[in-house]
Amino acid sequence: MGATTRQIERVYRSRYSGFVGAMTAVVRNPEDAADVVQDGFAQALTRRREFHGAGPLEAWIWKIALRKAFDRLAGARVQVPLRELPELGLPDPETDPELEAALRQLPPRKRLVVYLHYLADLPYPTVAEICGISEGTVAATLSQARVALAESLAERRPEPARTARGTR
Amino acid sequence: MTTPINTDAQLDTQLRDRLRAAVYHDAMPRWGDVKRRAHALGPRLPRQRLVLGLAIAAVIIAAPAFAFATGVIDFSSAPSAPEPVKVIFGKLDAIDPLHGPGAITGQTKIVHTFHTTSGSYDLAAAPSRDGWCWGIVHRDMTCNTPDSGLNYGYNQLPAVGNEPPLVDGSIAAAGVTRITLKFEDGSTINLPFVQVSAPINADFFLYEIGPDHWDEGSRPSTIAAYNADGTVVGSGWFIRESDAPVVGTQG
Repeated sequence: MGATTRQIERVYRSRYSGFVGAMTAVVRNPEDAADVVQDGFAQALTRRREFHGAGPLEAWIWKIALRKAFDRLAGARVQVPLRELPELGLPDPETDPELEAALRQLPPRKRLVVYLHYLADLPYPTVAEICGISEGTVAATLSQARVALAESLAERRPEPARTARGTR
Repeated sequence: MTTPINTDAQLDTQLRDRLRAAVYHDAMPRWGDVKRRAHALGPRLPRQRLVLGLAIAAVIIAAPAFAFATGVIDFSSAPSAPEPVKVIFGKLDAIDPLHGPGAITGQTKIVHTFHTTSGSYDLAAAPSRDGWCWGIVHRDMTCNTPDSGLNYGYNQLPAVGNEPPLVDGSIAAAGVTRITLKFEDGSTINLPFVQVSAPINADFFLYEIGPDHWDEGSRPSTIAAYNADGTVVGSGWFIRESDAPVVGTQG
């Protein structure tokens, strides 16, 4: 079957921002993220005949791009098995320290699901396809992540300033 | 930043907004750059099917001298390729005008025949402006340059239709002494390959994956070419549609 250049280009043009956004969180900075996305799509182009349409084309490209990202995180010359998730990046602590601290509590696997869903805007089935899990597991993972994040964010939220009336 | 969170929907919205603000980027899509990178990786151009019928068989039968099993093949003494093969090589520029490999179609030759359990596969090659164009007749045609690295193709398993699971490829003949295919079960095999002399100056291989390596867990995982020092001079991996990070709820 294979994918065509035009199909891959269509995914690139319509989903570019989501790719770079989620990848920025994964590899820790936007420059590396943009580079990984370019490399991922280039690899997809050269290997497009290997796509057999078992899942969405975008999910297939995500797997390639994530592999590039994981290899980069582990060191340029090391091939990281896709089943061994490296430590993923976190948002800049200076931008949002509460969020960074909350995400830090999540294991890399849950963090990846969060990034793919919230930053790449991917629906549950596509996240499931990329991560090799069921949609139910995606839902459960996101639910757990939401609870953990809510608790973590609540713990870190500063106490509301007491009003003059409240202190009397 | 500290809006009270009351519902999952509110948390969803807040998480999305804060995450996006935290990973802000202003990168712009650059499709041309993607294509240039793909070219540098060694473009695998669209499959060009050739229906040569008996003509190609006649050429092969008439020219047994080039049918080496391994070793260096003398390009100058290989028989000229049938006209349809030259036509396809000539179309490569039109198929991928950005790269424009510039195959010298008049010099297209059938340089070798690979024999596997599913049949025989004829290797066609022609010099190009910056390197060489090559293809397995009835399969892909592509072009490489000396800095393309290891260019390889793979009919993914499980096999689709009547496509046999073949791995084929090419790399500049820069002292390559071993091309090793590694499988998911950890086993490896050194692939037989042939070298074609100037002006091609490249190594070629075609290998059919046996039934022992058809199932998940034993399929091809990586491929690498080594020189005499054991240095990797080209490598790659095999993406599978089932390949995915394991993301469990247990973290």
